[in-house]
Amino acid sequence: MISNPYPLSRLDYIPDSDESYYSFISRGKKNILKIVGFTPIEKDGKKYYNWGFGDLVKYETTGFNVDDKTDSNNGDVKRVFYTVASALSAFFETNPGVTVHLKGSNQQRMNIYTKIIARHWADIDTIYDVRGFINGQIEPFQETVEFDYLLISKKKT
Amino acid sequence: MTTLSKKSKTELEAEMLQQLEDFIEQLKAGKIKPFKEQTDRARENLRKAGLIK
Repeated sequence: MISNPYPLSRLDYIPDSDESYYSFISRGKKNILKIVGFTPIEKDGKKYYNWGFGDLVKYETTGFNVDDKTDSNNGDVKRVFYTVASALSAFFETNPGVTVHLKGSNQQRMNIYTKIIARHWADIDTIYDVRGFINGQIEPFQETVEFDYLLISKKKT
Repeated sequence: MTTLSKKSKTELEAEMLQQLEDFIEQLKAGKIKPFKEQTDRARENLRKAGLIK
């Protein structure tokens, strides 16, 4: 399913934290350090995680953080997405029973995610249960629907 | 934005490694909460969908 992702590294930083972070370098027109993060959604639960990714940037006042809104236009969007998807696979290896929430920072990005999932649906459907939120309800994934967000879990084997 | 394309690969890797280490240090110190806005919005989404309290 994943064609030629960039090498991915897991950041092991706080043993007691429920957050998981991965990094890789997008080597397009520029070299950009990317961070993929899985952050717990429930304050006291471990079932739902948000799946986010963005560029590592340095802000003058607060130092390094992740910018998930900038469109890098680095010429390697598919490879970046495949790499981010490979982080999901790695995350599920250590957290097999959780559900991951995915929402693009805008509808255009959400549509890109939907198209890429649709393109690889035959492979994805064998491994993952993908549902989406639309019109107040959670529905099974359909490529023609513009979902508000997606919920992804790993199928039990 | 983090762009280092004019530097040699060795310098680039070393500089990016340092950036990652600085990022991790800030995480450890609790100075930053990456993806906080996204996670807060996700929490609200799941609440509205009745999936969490």
